[in-house]
Amino acid sequence: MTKTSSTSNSTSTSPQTLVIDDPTWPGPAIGPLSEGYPDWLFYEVYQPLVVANVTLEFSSGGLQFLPGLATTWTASPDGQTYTFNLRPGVTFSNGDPFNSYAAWTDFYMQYYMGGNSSSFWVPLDIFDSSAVNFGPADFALINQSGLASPSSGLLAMMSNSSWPVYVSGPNTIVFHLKSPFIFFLNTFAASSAQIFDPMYILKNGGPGVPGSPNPILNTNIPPGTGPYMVSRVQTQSFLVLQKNPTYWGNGLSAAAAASNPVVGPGYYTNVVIKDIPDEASRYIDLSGNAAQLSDIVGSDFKLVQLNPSYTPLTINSPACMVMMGMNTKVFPTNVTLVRQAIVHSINYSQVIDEAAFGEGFEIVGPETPNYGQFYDPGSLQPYTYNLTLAQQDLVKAGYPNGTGLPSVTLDIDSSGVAWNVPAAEIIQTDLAQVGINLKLQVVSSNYADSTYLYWNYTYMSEHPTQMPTLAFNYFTGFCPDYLAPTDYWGVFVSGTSAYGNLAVYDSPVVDNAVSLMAHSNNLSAIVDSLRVAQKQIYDDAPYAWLFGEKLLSVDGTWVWNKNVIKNMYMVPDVTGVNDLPLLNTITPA
Amino acid sequence: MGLATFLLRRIIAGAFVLLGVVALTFVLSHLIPGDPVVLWLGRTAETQPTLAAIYVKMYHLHDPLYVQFFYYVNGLLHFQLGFSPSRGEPVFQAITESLPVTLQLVFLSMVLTTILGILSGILSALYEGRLPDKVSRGVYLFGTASPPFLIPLLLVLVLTYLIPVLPSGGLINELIPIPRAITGFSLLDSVIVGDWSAFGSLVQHMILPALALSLASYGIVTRVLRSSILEVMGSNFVRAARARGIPERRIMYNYAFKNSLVELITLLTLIFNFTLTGDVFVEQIFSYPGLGRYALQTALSSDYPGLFGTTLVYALFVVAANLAADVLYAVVDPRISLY
Repeated sequence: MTKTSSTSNSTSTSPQTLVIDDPTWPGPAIGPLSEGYPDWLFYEVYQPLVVANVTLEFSSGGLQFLPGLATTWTASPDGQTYTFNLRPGVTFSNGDPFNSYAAWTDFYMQYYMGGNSSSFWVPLDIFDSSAVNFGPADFALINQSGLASPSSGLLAMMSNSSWPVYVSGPNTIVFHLKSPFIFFLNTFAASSAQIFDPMYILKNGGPGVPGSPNPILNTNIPPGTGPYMVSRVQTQSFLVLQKNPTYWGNGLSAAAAASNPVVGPGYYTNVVIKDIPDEASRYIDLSGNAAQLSDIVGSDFKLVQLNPSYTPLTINSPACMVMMGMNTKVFPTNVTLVRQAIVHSINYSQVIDEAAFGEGFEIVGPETPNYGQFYDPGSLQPYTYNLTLAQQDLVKAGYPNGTGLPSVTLDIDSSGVAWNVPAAEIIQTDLAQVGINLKLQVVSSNYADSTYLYWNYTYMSEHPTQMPTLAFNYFTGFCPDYLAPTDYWGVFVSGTSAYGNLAVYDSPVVDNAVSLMAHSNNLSAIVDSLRVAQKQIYDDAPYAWLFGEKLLSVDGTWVWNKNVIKNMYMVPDVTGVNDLPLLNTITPA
Repeated sequence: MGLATFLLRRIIAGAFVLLGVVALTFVLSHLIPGDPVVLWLGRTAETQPTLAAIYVKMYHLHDPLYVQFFYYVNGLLHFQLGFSPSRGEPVFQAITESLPVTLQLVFLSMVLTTILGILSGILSALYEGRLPDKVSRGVYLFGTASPPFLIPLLLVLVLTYLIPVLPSGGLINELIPIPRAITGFSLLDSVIVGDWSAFGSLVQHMILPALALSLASYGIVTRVLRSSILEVMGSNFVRAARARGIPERRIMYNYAFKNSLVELITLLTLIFNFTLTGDVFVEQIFSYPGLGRYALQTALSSDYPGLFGTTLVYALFVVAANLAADVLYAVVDPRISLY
């Protein structure tokens, strides 16, 4: 059903206003210290020092970094020290100056709120922060001194090169790593890298204490340097952004903005993001032009596919993927040949067609293909649907036609039932063809989220029977925290995994590759180790890599009316990479 | 028994009820398997163990249940409801932000319920057995029997999509500033400051959710009032009034309706409780940022402090409403004494 008439009650009466219907209110709160998801303010209000080249990323999947708030940067020959030269003359939207002192304070403010831990940056131990004990006294010093021209005492602290992040001038900031990390620039595509006005926070009661952030900041949003600023917040209802009149990029030429869209000035004067949890309401708003961009999922998405006026966003070089983990520590999935039989029994194209509306493609895990030479360096082919091969695997394992195998259970997260169930039923039918009896079990999202989805590998390996035999990864699929393959490898197949290793899988060969990726800048050594490690994983088959997802929510995505919106880029960022529109790139038709 | 004594006894009893409700909620919520810190922090709980440890310590999560309960009750006695991890602010603040939004909606819904219920109840009684009575009963039965999400969805479909006259959800037009908080009730505040643009938008956004709530419950008022009126209309004193030539309309209002008021008070108290607690679905469907949405969020994310706080507030209102009803009985009908 289609309707294109506008409601007289729509907030989009002005062509300068864009209304977006989003199913999730950022939780726990909006703002740079809350780690809220989804993070609408990253890039729009708060910018990082470097930004990904989205034109390249969304055309060919390549990764390249362009100037953000830093104009140039250098890396030391040993790959451990990165020096950033900041863009001069930039201010926050309230007029406070942006400089290296503000960036320094931002880092250590987040460090403090994370319990004096630098793992807030990325879940890898890349900084040596043993010398840093940041606290209220330091905030008091900063508040007293100010950051426009810091006092000598404050400057001495900020210039301390034994700390992992220090300044060497008003517009130069240095990051020193514990060991070389070839993907360090990639970590700037994570919201921990966003720059906000720390003086505003300090003058409004400070950031709070770890575990109890200052609630004033939930509605009094700190200013940023980005093309938009927050003009209004109504918790669990809406967020209104308006163009930042003092944005440094307002004077960019059309060519400059086109070459680096992430820093473009934006088209719409006002952007209203509404929290609309009900799927039908989001579709109705889109149909009636009460919203110009809406997140449409499930059965409503089929209506979108049938309507030529609508454009659903699909990403041809996504960073998000779906897989099924097989517990390598419990019988029968602890038998490698049984796992191989399973991966050869699955009709992947049918799963993609029926669970993801055809918007997916087969991959060789554990990462997605957008990482260039780091993806599948051994040129392995995705697992194929081959029942003959599957049956041979079972014969070799001593279980011809599944005889002697117990039933296995596949856990489905209740939040993801819209796609989990069709995918699971296809797999159930497929496995039945080779004699493997698969039972489906829907578990509550709360249970899944607070148990097996987020246990670390150590706990899992000590309690393997508490892990499901088979399980899908997160109900929206997995998206990395930052744009690098280390996140996938570290999460799914590493013995040092902090969460998400659904297969309870560990291999010395793989752990060596993961370690090398996180601590070396020797490109060829990294690629060689990945080649060996990936072959190991491929043969061990701890996961059935179901597909790379072209839709943002597996069974849905952002949809717009092509008569209203021409095109847009997505945000290459954190906790759900590629899942938010880059608001300043949304172009009216 | 004097009113003061009556109130004191009921307040003390109410306090025990509230404690019991909180205790039951406390125990039940902790029976749900899973680590609340992981639910609150997600993957951060594993990637930032220092922060996770702070949360464990703050909420005494590794202490025995009775110890956790002790800390919680101790906090309550100091008017501390704790910090809501799912909302990133103190529970008390979250409740004071969301409760007025819900109370406004409930108030409007109760007004609609009362008006609709009384009008259709009287109509049904007047035309007993005839077409208006049958139509009225059909409509309210549909409302009463429908699952709580159906009527809201139908209203959205009809009044937002097919006949687009109302917004599909939200509190106010996002480009209209919310009036300065004076009472905390934005509708009242907009009247006080004379911001009629905001008032109009607030009312516009309240119509559908209030209608959804009242359509689900007005039928009970209709049915009870209809039965009550019919019973009274058949009584001797009404026959005597007719015999004296008193007009039927006056009989209906002065005799039948007024004598049904006591039952109406009982009913409206029940409906208030039903509406207040049942608006969770309505607020979720209409994206209305009230206490119901917050309560749902706390339940889904195992936000214990928020869950206990919202449960306490709901229980408080139910107890208070029942107490108010008991007092009103005595006011409306002097034959009823407080005991």
